[in-house]
Amino acid sequence: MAEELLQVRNLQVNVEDKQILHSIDLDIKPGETHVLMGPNGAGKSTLGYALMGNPKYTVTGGTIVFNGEDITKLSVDKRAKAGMFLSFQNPLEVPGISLSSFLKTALEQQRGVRIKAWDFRKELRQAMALLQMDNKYAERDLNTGFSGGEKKKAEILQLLMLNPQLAILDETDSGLDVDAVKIVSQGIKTFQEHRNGALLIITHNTKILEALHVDKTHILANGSIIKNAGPELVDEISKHGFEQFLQK
Amino acid sequence: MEEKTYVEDIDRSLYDFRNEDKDAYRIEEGLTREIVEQISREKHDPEWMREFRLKSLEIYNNTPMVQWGPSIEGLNMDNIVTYVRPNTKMQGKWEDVPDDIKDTFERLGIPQAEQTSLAGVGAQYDSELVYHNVRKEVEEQGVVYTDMESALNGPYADMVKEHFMKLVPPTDHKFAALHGAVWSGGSFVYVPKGVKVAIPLQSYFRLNAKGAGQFEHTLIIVDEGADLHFIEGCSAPKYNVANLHAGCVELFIAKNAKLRYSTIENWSKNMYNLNTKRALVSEGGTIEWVSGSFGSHVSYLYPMSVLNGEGAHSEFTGVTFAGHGQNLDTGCKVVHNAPHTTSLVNTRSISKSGGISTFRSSVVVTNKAKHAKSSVSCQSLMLDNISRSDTIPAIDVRTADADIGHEAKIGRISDDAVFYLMSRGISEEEARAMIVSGFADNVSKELPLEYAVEMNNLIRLEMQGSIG
Amino acid sequence: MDKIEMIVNQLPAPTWNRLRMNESRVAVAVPKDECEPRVALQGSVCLNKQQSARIPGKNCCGCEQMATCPVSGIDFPAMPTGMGEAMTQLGEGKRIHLVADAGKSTAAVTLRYADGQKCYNRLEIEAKPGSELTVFMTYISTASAKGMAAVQTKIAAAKDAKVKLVQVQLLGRDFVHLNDVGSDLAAGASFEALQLQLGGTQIYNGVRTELTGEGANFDAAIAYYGRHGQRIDMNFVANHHGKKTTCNMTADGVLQQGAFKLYRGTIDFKNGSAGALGDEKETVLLLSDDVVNQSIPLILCSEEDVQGNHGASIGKLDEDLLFYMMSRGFSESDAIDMMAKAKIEGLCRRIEDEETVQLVERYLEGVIADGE
Repeated sequence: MAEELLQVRNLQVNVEDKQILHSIDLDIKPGETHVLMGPNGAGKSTLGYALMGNPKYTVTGGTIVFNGEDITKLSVDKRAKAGMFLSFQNPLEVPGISLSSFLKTALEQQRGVRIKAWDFRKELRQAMALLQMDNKYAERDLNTGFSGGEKKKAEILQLLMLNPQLAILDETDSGLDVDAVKIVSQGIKTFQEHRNGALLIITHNTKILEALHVDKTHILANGSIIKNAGPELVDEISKHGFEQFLQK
Repeated sequence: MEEKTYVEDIDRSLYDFRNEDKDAYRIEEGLTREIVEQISREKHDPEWMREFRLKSLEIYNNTPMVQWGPSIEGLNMDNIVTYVRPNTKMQGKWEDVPDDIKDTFERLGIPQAEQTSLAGVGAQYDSELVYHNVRKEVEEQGVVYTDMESALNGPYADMVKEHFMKLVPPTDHKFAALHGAVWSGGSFVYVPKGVKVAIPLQSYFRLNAKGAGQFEHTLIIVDEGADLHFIEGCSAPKYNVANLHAGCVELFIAKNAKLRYSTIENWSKNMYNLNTKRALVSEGGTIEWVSGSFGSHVSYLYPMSVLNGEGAHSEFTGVTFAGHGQNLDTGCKVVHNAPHTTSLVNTRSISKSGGISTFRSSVVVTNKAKHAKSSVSCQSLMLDNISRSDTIPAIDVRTADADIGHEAKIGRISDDAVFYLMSRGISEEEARAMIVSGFADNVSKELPLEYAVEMNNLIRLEMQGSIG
Repeated sequence: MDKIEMIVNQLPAPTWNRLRMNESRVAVAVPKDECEPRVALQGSVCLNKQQSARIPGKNCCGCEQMATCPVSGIDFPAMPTGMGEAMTQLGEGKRIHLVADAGKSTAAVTLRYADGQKCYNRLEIEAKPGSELTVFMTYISTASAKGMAAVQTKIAAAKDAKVKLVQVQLLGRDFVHLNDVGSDLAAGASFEALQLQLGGTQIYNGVRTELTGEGANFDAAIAYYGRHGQRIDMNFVANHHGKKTTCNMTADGVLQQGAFKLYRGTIDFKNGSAGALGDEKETVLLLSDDVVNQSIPLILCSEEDVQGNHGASIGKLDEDLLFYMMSRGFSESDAIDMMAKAKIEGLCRRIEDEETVQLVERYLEGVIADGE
């Protein structure tokens, strides 16, 4: 059995003084795709933020181990450099910095070397083509004035460029029309198949999962994981909803 | 046409009626040392207060007029009668108040409101209070609510002396000095530690005498963890000479205490309203100002919150409606002087029929106010193109660790909104009145129901006859 | 001795004196030195020879005859400016008069100051109907130079003329910079003012525009990076007279190391400006605890059918934004640094002149290389 990429043990998280997550356990192996589902307000986004290290989400107990290293207390930028990525549900607008210069600088930070403009541009164009993004977006201020769908595409573009080992996708499909879901899902698939990237997909919509291989499914309700299962659970939920699990 | 006449009738019957002040004691017009000394004698001031008045007069004489804001040229202090005492002592029962004065307050609905929804009432007529009463159960909680004169000579004399014009010193500006010299009337409130007064106290100020000034002083001390809602109302009949209101409100809010101070100001349109209001808020305390400015010829009114303790909070919610012949310069000031202090300002101004409304504010964040947060939002509505609306907000930030936001908007009533309402069978005038009332709902939502109704009536009065 | 006290940058509607925002007082040396700007012209723009004879460049006004430029009927001296009358009174100054005819043209005006120079220059720009003129003005000196750079620029844009003014200030750390702009826009005319204030110790910057003709448009953007005790004192005024006039003013800046900044921005909808729109937006990033930020954004209005908006956001970097950037691998200090530079870069992108932008980049690199 391969070594775990992510190992979460007994994780408890507070927002301000309120406990949101109670005793979460989660294991993800390299290259695996996990789906986290659950009703609104269950704490799904909280888990994503806590794994990534948002200071507003206080870990009050438990550990997060990534690649064998305890990262529970690590700052967010160090987690990013270690190979974690969070696709935001509401990506922030960054006025004054173009998408391309943001990405180039981020890549240089990650790799610790200057990247040739030519190589970078080539790589960026390829990724943008895959996501059917107009090249003009590269020179626009990051997320500034982007529509909801464009913002989500820009997140996946960053995922493909930064190429982490584990990507947490928080409601990446929300607010997208059918065609956009297909394109975004294509981008995720590329990450899955060609980069052997591991994924934790947070969603309450199964549409985005149709074209993706899924290894494990978890249901989060009231701050606890109430069910762990294989890919078959996705179908079951899309047919019957969460109710049956919640009553138990 | 019929509608218009009807409106004027309501207007007069509501606020614009006057009594002959036949039996009242009037001091001479003007402002001299002799007049100030005479007021002091008439009021049986303690010695320190007599000295305070004379010192204030000196400051007044040495302070220049303001260089900004609306013109107050029409105000000549030589013509203002600074002290008018009604021919009665302060009473604790309405039936003991002389008929003409009692009638005045009944027409304003004060005794009725006292019965249903107030914990206590003070009623001032010209320079002195004519009525003061507190519900027994509130008195039993240890709440002190009395007129300033009794407070000066009663068991709380030391507390009064310790706080009187400490927050608004006579040196603050010219009309603060004037107030210090000739103040009379007003209320003193003390809410002891931990006492939460469930229903509001109200003071009502009525200026009946022609050419007179009203200079009441309101001093409220809310002790640790206590909670109070204080309502202030004011009105006057209209004269063709200038009247002056230069009151002063000082509010001391102790640790974790909370005070809401609500005002519906409806002075007549010959009034110069140069009022000063200020609150000092300690750690964890809250001041909430709710302010509706509808009356006066000229207003200078900027309630100020000094957030002096960690986590102190202030909210200012205001609406100003400037109609024909009015120049209303209103707004607020906030000083963040401690960590984690927060402030919210939300104001609406309306200008109509040549009225001028100015929103003026200052938010100062000192270097001590780490993690301070402030958010200011002001919106102005222009109802025609002969009026004027200005927005003059100042921000001064001296710490990096602050989060300060400001937004201002100015515009007109949307034709689409009027059309939408009219398409449902509402007349244009009514539609516009509804939209303006809605625009001002930041304040009406914060007022007790009766006062919200009164405010909406005022808007309706102002809006009637606004269509060609 | 040879100092003049000036009252500049007066707020169109004053407020409490104790806030010290109503106006600024500045004592400056009497400008005595002659500073000859380098002027390069392209397209149908010319220097009016009658006003200034010795400057090389194109010397015709879209006509063959040199020295026969028609003297304009525009009363430039009477045109009001952002800093105010005191600036007009500062002295005779070295005058340049540019005239742009219809068609596209550019003018590059470089003012290079030697150490100790105290100069006053005036630039008058007359944009004829339908002309499209871009003027690049660069103020530059060595990093250690001291002195005063006072410049007044006045623009008269005729019907449908488009003027873009780019002012880039890269002076030495001890320079006093007085930068004053006034403009008057006829119907359909537009004026875009892009200003970058990077050097100097005391910077007074005023821009005032009269939107006289129907449909005139004024677009002003300033970016600054206040450091080592700089004082940056600004006054922007858009006076809407004409119907359907529009203005959009932005001020974007960073303050650290004891810098002081005062931004005054006024949108004044005069009676008769029906259909006018005005927008004003200010953002300030505060990076150290010893800075002073003052802002006073005015909207004055005596017309019903207008829309005015103002927004200001002042403080440290937004926590959510910081988290977002750090989640992409930037350290906190890198993220803050990047956002600070973004304010300058955002404006650079509107300059649309590679040479000027590179100059700014080199200047910024130099500043950072200084080890500040």
